Amino acid sequence: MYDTYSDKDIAMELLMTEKAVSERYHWSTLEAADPQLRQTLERIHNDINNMAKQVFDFARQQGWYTPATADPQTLNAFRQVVTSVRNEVERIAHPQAGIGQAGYQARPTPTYQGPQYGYTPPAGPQQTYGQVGQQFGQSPQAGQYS
Amino acid sequence: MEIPDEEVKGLNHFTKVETWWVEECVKADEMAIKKAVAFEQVCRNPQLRQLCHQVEQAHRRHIEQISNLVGQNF
Repeated sequence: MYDTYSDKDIAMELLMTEKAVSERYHWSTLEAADPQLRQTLERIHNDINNMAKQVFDFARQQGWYTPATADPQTLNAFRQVVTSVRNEVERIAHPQAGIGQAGYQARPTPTYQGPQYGYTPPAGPQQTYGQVGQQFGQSPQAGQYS
Repeated sequence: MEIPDEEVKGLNHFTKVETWWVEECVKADEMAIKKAVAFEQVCRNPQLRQLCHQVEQAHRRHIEQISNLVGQNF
């Protein structure tokens, strides 16, 4: 059945399979009421994630798995969403001390190297950012992180 | 007929939701084992072959652990 698969195909399929199994254990753990069952599921989930990491590292070493680094536009949109959400939750937590007023101090800009995991195509995250922005009713402040 | 969650819990200490999800887990483990075995036979890279073998063994271990746990609860 897999005779036509290259080693790269196999590695990628192996990784996708581990992700799928990991997802099952993730949900199972969250649904487990029995403490012993929960502990077992957590342990197995962790084991699968470690296994997946080994496959992931191998695929990367071979140059088979190279998720594209986020372009500046994507990074900017990403930072704006994070900043917007942070500001919003800060406002909810401290309604008296508005952002920009005394007592509020912005955190230093993080150095973001782009996602290390995932197959997500560039179009996906941009749409998601837009939806998140709309959902929270906050348009990102341009240049806030520049 | 739907079995009430409490009845399932009474029988083996697991809720119906737990049994559904754990069943999903062992099926997923089984699928992973089958794939890993097949991959091990066709891949050329020895390191990848070793990885396939490790994956297979890990999922076998998981099924064993779940099986032991379920056995204690019946």
